[in-house]
Amino acid sequence: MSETVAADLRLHPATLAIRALERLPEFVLGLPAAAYFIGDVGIGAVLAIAVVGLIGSFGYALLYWSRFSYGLGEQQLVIESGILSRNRRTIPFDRIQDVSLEQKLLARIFGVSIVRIETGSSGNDEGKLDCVSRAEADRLRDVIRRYRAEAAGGAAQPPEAGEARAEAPALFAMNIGRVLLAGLFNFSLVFLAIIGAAWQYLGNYVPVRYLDPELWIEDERVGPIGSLSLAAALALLLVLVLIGMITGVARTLARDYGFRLTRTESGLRRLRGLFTHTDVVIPLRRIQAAIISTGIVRRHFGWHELALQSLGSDGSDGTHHVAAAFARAGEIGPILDEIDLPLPPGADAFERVSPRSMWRSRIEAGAVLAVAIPVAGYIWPFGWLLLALVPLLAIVPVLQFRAHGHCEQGGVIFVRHGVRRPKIVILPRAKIQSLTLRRNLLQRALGLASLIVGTAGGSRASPLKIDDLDNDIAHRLLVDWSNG
Amino acid sequence: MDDDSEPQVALTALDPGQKWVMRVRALLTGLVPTAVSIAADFVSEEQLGTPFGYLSGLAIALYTVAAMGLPGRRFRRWGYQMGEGAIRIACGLWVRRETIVPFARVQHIDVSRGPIERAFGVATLTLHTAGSYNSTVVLPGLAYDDANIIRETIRSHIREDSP
Repeated sequence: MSETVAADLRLHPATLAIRALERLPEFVLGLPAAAYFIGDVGIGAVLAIAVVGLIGSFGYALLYWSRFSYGLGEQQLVIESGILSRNRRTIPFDRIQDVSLEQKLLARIFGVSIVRIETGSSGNDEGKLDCVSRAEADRLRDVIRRYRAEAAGGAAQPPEAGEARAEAPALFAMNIGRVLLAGLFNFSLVFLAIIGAAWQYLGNYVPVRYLDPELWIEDERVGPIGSLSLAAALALLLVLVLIGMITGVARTLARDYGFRLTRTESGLRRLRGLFTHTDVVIPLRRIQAAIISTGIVRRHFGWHELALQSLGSDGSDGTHHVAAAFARAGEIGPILDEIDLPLPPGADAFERVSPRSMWRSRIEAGAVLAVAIPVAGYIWPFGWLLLALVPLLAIVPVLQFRAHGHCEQGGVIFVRHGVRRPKIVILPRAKIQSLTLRRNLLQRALGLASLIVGTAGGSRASPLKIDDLDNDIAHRLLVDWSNG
Repeated sequence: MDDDSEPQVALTALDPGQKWVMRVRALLTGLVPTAVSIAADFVSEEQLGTPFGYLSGLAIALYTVAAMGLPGRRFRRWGYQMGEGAIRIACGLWVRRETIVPFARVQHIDVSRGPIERAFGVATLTLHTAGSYNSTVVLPGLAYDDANIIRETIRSHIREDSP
């Protein structure tokens, strides 16, 4: 029908302001470094460089903005971009899997939103409109949805504006109390690392030498070692715990505030975020596997996280969408029902790997320690403290062995592993892409084999793996599971 | 111990030409490191007065093993088997790997030949899957005609599976 669609719409002008403001911190932080490299020039010259840089980047953004346009046809979306070499991209509505919206803090202030058009191919930024007004984003989504609904079922009820759909009953939602509770379990000391990094960077500019941690240690050595320093150590520990808890709550609040998962006609839709507000749709047909994880502490309180592994769509090779950030087992079941996956069976239904796996961990970790401890002891006076790790060789492999297992029910494979962060992967056999059996020298000597399952959208670095199965069982599973 | 209690299935060996491909590749790969070692040995004798011969001898010994001894053993560990609905590929001298790719999971197939492979009449078959692990599974050292036959077999299965 529509042969030529005019690309006559532009991005929201606030895009320019957002780009400029986003760049600002880079420039401000870059100034001391620039001054250092340039050497002995006045503050004026440095500021001049900064101003030129800002104008340059703003000019580029302006040029890009003026050469970027898009248009919406009857059946397709057209995007024209490129400053020198022009590119006209046509995305047929039939190929669009879904439309995600993302609003960062600045975007929310300006009332605009990034629109991501997701198609089947796994390329990066297939169709990204950064940014359009919120109303325009809703219009785009509705036009595309309506077309798809009509194409699918003829007499589909016209989807209403975004607000109306958000009122669909939630599959899972977190109120503020739940978010705060989740934050307490997300104890994190990442804040300290940030302070440390900032210290590296700014340390030379801070004149107060008392802030240097090395001096504190020196003072500690000189000063009396008694009840006072013990109290000080306890106080420091308390402060660390407090910082960790506050950091955890703050991060969780920023990420999971207003968490809400609903069902749409083609997938699951998730809204969350306090500052950066995201609105993501996970198309059902792209879901490959589900992962239920928990923590060493929260497990005892019955809290879990559900993530869905889906075919890469955000440009990264693996995508895990959190579908329920902090949920009871009873809340996870209904979500899994929607995507036709069963809940995992109880721990005793899982078949364990070979007990000889414990010896493999001990021999491999023992060999590492046998080298590392003498070296550390030689170069560092406290290096011999690493000897304290040796008893762990007896305990940790047992815990890992007990946490690891696999089973199969009704064409669905379950694999559980992990001590500190126990996880259960739920994978339908039909989603297995390939299977590899791997045996290194030690495993061959012990009669063990690891089975690695290739899944789409999984992590390349840590694929789904059943470690140290008995050789014969591993061969049986290899053949069995590859039969679809 | 259990070491060679291995394949319960009979694997097809690669084309003998592949053994020579592997040898030539090992010869080429080792050329520069060996030459550098000998040169370093020479310079070290000139400048520091170390005795000539130890480093060079070691380098040449390693080169000989890597180019003459190992390729043959690695070659023998390679094998494949075309099953009803899947291909099984085994390889690895120290770390043994056995991979099964169901035909229905193959996204696309490459048959490629480099200059050395052309000289010995073999080709490499590469299977692409949608998995992020094993996104490409490689089977080198097939006679060129065999590679094409295998490709056609797998392709016909793909067509049957997705109407």
